[in-house]
Amino acid sequence: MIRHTVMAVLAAGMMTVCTVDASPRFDDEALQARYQHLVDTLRCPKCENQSIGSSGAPIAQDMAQRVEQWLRQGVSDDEIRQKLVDRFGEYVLYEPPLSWRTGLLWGGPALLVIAALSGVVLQIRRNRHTSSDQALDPEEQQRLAAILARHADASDLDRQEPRS
Amino acid sequence: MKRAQLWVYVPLILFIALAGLLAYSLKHNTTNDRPSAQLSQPFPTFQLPALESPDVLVDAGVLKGRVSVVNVWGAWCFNCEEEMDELHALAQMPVTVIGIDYKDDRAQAEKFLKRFGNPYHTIIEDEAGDLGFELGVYGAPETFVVDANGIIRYHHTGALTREVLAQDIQPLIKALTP
Repeated sequence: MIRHTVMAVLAAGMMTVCTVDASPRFDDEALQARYQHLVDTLRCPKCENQSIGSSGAPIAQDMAQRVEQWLRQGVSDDEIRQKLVDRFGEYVLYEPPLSWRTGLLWGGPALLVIAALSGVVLQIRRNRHTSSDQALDPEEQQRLAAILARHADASDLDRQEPRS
Repeated sequence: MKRAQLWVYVPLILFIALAGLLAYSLKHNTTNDRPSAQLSQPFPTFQLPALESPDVLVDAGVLKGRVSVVNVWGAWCFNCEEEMDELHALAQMPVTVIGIDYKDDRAQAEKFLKRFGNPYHTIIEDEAGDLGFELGVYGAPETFVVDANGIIRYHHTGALTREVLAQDIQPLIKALTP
């Protein structure tokens, strides 16, 4: 009972912090859609990983206001993103652009997977070779002969009549 | 030992190398985690009142012809108190310390300066925060070093420390001063 009350209070408290003014800023639906998309896909530089549309931090609100202003001035989505990158760096883009510097970030996971898979393939092939290339030593040859002899007796059973 | 067995140690060696690299950079990292977009950019144009004489307008001309440390602060910002010693130390050095009072109330700002002393040659009153926005400021205090041509050469977010002064700012000032 107490746990549920505590959780309810915490949830309510979080909602007051996380709620951002969601009323539409544009009469034009197309502009409103562009605005919403931009503020949802641009990252607030101060609050780790929150978008500027969902953060109550002052800088996030400033950035959202600028986005609105630029949209009204007829600036394109790409230009808006570039203007924010010019001021705050690539961090505001959730998807870092592909450049030499970010190549390792993009390619790193793929390279690791390829390396791991290569390792597995090489290991399998190595196992296959070691098991078939090495000749049996004398002790193992004796054991093999004994097993084959036993097997030869057993296969005769198929052709004989069952022992009574 | 068979060759295959030695390969097993490669991930472990890589891990230790990576951990060592991270530990080293954590210990020696006096600058920010992310490179600033402002480096090598000209200081943005602006025209704003001076805090202490509001009928006087300040523009980027105040930065030309000298090496400046531009410090973004506000009376509302808790960390700003922590760097006052460093700012006063900079004021004694051969560099011009310029303040940007960012999104602040003038009366509060003047109270702050009375309490902690005024290390600034000039203070720009950026009440709306537009100059800070052009500079990519997202949380005061932030500090820039600007060369005599008005180009930003250094951008630090967070309060200044003695290490930042000694390792980053002082050598840079020396390098930029003819």
